[in-house]
Amino acid sequence: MASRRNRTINMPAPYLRQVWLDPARIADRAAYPFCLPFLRGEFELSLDRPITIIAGENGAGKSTLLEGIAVLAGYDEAGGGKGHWPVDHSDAIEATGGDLSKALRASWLPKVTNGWFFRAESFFSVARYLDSAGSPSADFLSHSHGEGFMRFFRERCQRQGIFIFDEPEAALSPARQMEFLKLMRRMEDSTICQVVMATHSPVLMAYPGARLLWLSKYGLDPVTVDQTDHYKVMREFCADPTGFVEAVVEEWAPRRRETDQF
Amino acid sequence: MASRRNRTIEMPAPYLRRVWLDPSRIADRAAYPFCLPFLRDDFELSFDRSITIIVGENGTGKSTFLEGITVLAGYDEAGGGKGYVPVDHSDAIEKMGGRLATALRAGWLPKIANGWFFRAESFFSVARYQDKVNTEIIPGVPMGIPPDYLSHSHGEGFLRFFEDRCRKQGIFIFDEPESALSPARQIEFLKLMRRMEQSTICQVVIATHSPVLMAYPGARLLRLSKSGLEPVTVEQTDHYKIMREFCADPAGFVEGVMAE
Repeated sequence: MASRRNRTINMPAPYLRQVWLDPARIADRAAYPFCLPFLRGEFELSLDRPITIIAGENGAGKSTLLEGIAVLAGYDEAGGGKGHWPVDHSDAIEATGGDLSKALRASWLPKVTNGWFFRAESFFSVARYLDSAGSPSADFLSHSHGEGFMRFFRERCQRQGIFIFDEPEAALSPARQMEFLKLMRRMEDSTICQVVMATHSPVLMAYPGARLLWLSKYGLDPVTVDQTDHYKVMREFCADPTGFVEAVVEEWAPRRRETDQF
Repeated sequence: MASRRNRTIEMPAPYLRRVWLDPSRIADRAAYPFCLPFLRDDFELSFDRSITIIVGENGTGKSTFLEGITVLAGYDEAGGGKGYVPVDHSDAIEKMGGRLATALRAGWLPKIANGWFFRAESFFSVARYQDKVNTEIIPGVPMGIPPDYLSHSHGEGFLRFFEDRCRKQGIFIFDEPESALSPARQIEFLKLMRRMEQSTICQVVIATHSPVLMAYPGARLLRLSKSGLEPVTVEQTDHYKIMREFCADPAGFVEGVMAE
């Protein structure tokens, strides 16, 4: 069948089934990323659905975990797919995901090395690389930030593979996030796309049928969207925007340094 | 007074009072950015408060407009302060803001050339450049020791960057600062805004999709649409309405969206 020309594996996602930490492979427990609290005990992540969503506060280690998974899958940590090394890689990226991946083990069914690793902060350089590489439909920078993102997603996420998104909502207005939900549905319906996503957006967390996990210092735990802090904060805000903001801004206690001008 | 050593001007913000389009300076009306619907011949924006917040759907031209203001203020469009031209500028940035600035005129009281232009997509390169060339005195950071904004997660780096940069007199332009901030970090950012406003020497112009940031009290909230800029309340924005509808019934809302 013509539509299967590029489809090498006739099995449905998820392909990456499990990721776990092998303490024997850790050189220095005190060094980043191994000092991250969630990596202290027996860390293990089971991916039992085509779409896995990871939520958690900034600093918990979400991005590092996604980088580690991306390196396991054979991608570059800076974002992009296999074989797509972003511009000026020598200079670019935190190496922590690569460090982590050395101590991670993974089970695949089967191993898939196609796909994309997308992070908000590296989109810009990936898109520029695509522009300069002369992709016929590139030119992602000629529209506004959010428009470029959606075109990028749509073009990249049609083939079999594992797709890793780190905070895709970064440049998306609420209306664009709803389009992103539809893209996720399209990817899930294809049965050949596995998605692992970290997000702060309650709207994306609410994708039905996904496995939603909360990353804290204790590890990963299944949650529902209404149990997350992100949703609770948003709900409280929506009930009384002005009152909410007044209250949180009032909590501020001046923190001055000698060199401050104010 | 020792604390005023670097304060050159004894007037409170806002310093940039008005921006308007001068149609006689437009070479080609059909070319971007002048084809943007909001850039009509009589386009004009008055800044009457220290903090101005601009909202609007993706694609209306918010970022281009902020870039235009930035060029007027004498910054680089890619993000950074005066004199900080980000790494590899030749390759980097949309020139749209610069093109727009050629047809914009500005009223200042007085002209201020200090400050920062911050955009989500250029933070990464700006921070890296800062790490490399840390030649400026940053309060709280000893000279010669790079701030190392990249060693923590994206959101952590953002806030340290803001805090280090936003202590001096100037005009500070933020394009979607919420990009890497969880709701809890957005609340921290609101506190930073309050601190900047209370300093009386910081003018802030923000474009955002975040209803939480839009709700900052005392700011002038403007909606950019094809007919121009108009004052709104946070409750009137689409961003807030969508969020409220979602919060009332997350599962039902998402199912509804995807069934469309």
